[in-house]
Amino acid sequence: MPIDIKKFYRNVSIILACLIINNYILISLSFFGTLVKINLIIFFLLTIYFYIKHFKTNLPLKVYFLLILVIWLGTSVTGWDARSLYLFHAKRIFFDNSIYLMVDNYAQFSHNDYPLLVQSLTASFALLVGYWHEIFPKTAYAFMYLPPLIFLSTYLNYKKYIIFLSLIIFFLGNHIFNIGADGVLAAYFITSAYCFFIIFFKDENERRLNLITLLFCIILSLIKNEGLVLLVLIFFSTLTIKIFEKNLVNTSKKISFYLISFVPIIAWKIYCYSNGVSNTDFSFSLLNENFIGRAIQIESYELFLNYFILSNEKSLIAISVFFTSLYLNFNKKLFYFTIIFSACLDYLK
Amino acid sequence: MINLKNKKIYIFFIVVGIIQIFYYGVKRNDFRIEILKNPFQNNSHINYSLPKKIIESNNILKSENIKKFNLSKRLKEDMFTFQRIIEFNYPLRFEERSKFTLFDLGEKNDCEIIKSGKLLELKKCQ
Repeated sequence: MPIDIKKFYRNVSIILACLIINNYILISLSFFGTLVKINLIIFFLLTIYFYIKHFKTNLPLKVYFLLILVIWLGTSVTGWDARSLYLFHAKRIFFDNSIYLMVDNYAQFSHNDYPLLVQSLTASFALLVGYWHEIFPKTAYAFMYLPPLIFLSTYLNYKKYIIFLSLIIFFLGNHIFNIGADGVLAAYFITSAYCFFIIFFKDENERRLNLITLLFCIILSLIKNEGLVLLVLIFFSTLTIKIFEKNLVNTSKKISFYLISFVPIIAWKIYCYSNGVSNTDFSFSLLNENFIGRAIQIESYELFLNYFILSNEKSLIAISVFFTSLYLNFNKKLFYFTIIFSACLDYLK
Repeated sequence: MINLKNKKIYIFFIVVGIIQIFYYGVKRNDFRIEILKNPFQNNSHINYSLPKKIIESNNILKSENIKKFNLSKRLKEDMFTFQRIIEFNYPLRFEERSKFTLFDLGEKNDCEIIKSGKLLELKKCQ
């Protein structure tokens, strides 16, 4: 891809990510009205511009996204996560004109402490149309895929990128079309982890890259609670390798910049906890049980392997893809990064 | 420029991607042309998403202009119905203290009937 087109796509990706965060900020500041609509119109115009300018480049993504969007517009909303949690939160934001009334803890089953970034975007889609309905607003989840996928297209050549997109569709599968946020979370996680890898282990230091990494980290932490855990693990994996490399001092300045990404989610969590709204699925005793209890039990390893290898064929394929690419292009740092990250994640599961 | 060999790989993976999208999106999801024809419809083709009982709860509450409602013990214990009624009826809110209570049709009690539907009835309880 020529450099000017790469620059264009990176800029599009940055602006789209900024507009998503901006939408959340505007609603947080109680501007649920004209400003949100303007923000969203710019978002749509930029998406159209992305399609028109350099029409022939990035064609697979453009075709795939259009198809995905059409399918989103033709499916109804079923599923517990979608109805009881994400769409219900969006509906509350739309009718209450605010994210803060969530702490009245109405309908506790809907996990009122969940971060509300994508739900805010969904509510804004409904605001643009002028009334609440379910089909068009839920396409906000499809639009969330654009910034990371556009960004990654600038780092891979045509052949690798099209294979990458095919793999993404295969591994995400149904999640692409569900309002469960898991697919969106996966897309932002791999992009954030990749950005961390090229910044801290390939020592790329470009302004745009730093900015987009920060934006992706912010979005990752605000998609759902698991996003925060994944972000912590990305930081932890990076720091652990840097400690082993005895390179922590040089890294600390760089990494402290990205700590800013925790601010919005911590602010939201403090607000929820100070109003008595907490996560009903989490407790420190459970964490202790999971962390220490499972580490010393051999059965837990057996259970994990059974699940990972026998009950989930996609993870087996993912492992095969990982080891094949590792064999073809071995990178010690990437290998350690992935292993430490996976080990931490398994225990948290 | 993309050479011939790369072009074949390129086209192959584009086709694989499109097939996957159709498989996951259309075959394994509840995709319907009727919804696609008008995705901006006000009731959002809700009959494809929710059971009749839930839709009827909304019709009854709206027709009687009830802002806060309660649910019978049986409806509260049925977790699916309970959650769907609460989320679908929002901004009408569920409140245990409300006198207006939704019952399954045929549930016996001493409350005064306000409106009856095919599956539910709204009653005023003291």
